[in-house]
Amino acid sequence: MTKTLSDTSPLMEDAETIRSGFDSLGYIASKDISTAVYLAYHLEKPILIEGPPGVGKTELAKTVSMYLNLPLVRLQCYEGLDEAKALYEWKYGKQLLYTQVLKEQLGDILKGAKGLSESVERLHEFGDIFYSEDFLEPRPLLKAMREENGSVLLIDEIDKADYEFESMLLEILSDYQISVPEIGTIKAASKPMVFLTSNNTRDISDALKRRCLHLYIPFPNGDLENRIIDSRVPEASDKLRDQLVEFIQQLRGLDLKKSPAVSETIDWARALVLLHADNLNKEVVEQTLNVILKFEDDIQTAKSELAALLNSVKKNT
Amino acid sequence: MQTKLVSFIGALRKHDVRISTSETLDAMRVMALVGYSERDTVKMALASTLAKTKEEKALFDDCFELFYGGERLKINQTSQDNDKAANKENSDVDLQQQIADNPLVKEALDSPLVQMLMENDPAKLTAAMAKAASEVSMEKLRYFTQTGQYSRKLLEQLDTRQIDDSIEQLQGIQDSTADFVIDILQNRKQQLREIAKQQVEEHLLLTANAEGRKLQEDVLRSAKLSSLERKHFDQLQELVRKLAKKLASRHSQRMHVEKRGKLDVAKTLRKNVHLDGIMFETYWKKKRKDQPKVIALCDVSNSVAAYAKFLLLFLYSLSDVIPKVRSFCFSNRTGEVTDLFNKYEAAQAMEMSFKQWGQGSSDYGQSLVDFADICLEQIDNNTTVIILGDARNNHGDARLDVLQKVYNRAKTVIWLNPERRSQWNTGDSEMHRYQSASHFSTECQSLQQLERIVDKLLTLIR
Repeated sequence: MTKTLSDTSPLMEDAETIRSGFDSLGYIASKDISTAVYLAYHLEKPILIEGPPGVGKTELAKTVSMYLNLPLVRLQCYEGLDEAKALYEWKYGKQLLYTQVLKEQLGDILKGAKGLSESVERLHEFGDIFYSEDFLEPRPLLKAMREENGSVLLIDEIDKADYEFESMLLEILSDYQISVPEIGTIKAASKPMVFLTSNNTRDISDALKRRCLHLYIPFPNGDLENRIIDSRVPEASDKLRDQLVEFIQQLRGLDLKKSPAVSETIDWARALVLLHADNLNKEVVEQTLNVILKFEDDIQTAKSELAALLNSVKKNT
Repeated sequence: MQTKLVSFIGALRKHDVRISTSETLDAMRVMALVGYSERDTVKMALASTLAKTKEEKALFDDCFELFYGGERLKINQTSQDNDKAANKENSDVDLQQQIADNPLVKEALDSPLVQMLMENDPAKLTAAMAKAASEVSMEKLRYFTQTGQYSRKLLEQLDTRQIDDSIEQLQGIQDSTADFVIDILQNRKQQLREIAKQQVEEHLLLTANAEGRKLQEDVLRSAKLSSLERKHFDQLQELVRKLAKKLASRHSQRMHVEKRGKLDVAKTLRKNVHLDGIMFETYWKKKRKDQPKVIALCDVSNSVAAYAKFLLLFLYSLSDVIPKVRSFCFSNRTGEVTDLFNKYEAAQAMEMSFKQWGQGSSDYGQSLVDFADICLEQIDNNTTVIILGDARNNHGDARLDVLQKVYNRAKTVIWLNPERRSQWNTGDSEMHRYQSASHFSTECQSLQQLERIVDKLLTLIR
């Protein structure tokens, strides 16, 4: 019998509990996020998280695993990822070794057997040993299924994997079971919480989407971002924090190749603290612009707008 | 509530959000979990099960506002009521009391609708309105012109005659309370009428408009391109973009094919070292498919002016779908417009292509020569050449030899002719000749045909 998570944890009582729990772990979640986690937990459905890079998609899964005190099993997707690397593999080496060892036993086993059919029959008694769970090398997906007390399974950047892999996931995500032809189906000991993340480099198939709840995490608004920085980089002074968040918010309004994400804001705040800056000025910003902007073109664009940006930051904070 | 959720999902589907049955079930489970008490939570929860792309989220938001946006229907206490109430030093409760005290008035008000109006309970009113709406089969409402008819039906269903009857009876009673109640009833009847009208209009916005649009799109899709007018252009642009996107998502899959049958010896050996070199696991040679190259050549001369716009539009959308499209335009000379397409918005890019290459009557011969000069060298056995044009050459030299050169080099040459097949080869049309030097030629009169052709084409070139 599979045990379900839902009747166990008071931590998942309602969305608000989850949100404040995440708060204390340093993950400042919007209401959307906590509601989605709440729903996913109780419906036992995977969540597909989409959004620009660096808004905390992967971080969410990590936080959930910390919050529920469950092991995090992470599967990073890439082109060419296949069953052997994601699901399971047979321990060929061990199988070969055992065959060698058994070879010597073979005489004993077959001793006294009359005719070919009886020998084969005796061998059959041992046949299944080589394809038993002892010889199964679990890969992330199988590992997550086998965790007794449940786990948090993070399938990261699913959009990088091939379509074949996506189709393979369907069985796992809807029934929480894995079919191994030699053994049969392995059911999850306890249903894991599954998070899939996507950067939207390609469309995810409808079949997969249908099985998941969908959560879109956008860039946070100023208020939320301010709280995030406050929790992540508490060393930053209030004034600096207000200014840098305002600056980043303004920057996202520019026409950039890649807008700075939350992770970049955090890095920037740390950098500014290291430089002992207690407010934003032209010099400091110019020095550290490469922390938040990753393209030369973007840096040039920002530099040309710098005075205007700083002015409006001063006005608004 | 469940029926309301189902009809909400119906409305979403009409707005082109794809929702499967299993997602409907999910939505119901979600609602059972979070309840209907908090509007924001309901919205978030439904969004996470029903809208699964960014575009769908936007559509979902709009529909949700329309559908669940309606606060409970309410009849306002007008200032007029209040004034009178104040003058008479009557509060609402006192009024009820007075009515109760006055058996004649009470009798006059003794019909369900009137009582409901007098009680002024928003929940009851909302429920009654919803029930009436389903009884007059509001879902059949399609057109704006029907709003009057439907709001009248709605009121009939609610049986507003009851109000008139009550008023008549009350008029018979010479009493200040009765007069006062008449005023209130008159006012509330008027408000009820307005609410009904508003209900119908909202419904029209939510479902019927979407349906009307769908109807129109269907018409547009199967209409002859030449008969469409300028005013359809915006809609068509939207439609073509949708079409291109649909094709893209269907065809953007798998870029490499495994070539079964050829063992990758080196890789197999390498991967099996830990097995003592026994080739336990085999690896097969993979063949990475080259990205297909598409070159499109579009006639923009006067003879096909009506079509050209749509063909260009399609060409433009195609460049979003297939990464390597080179586009050319010609009437009597040929020029490349790929850069224009990449740089500018659709409408502007097309305007510019027209201006630059669209003047004058068509000269296929010269245009083909130009075309060959520019890019014959780059046509190889992985290239598909699409020519869009009516092949009417004004009795000039057809220069079939040039097209044959292209034909010999390219993987496929496809000729799409906007004229009906029966008109090919009449008058100055050189279609039969050009047909001999193309792998595939077909008529292409409507968007529907265009979609089918390109679908086939994309399968072909991958």
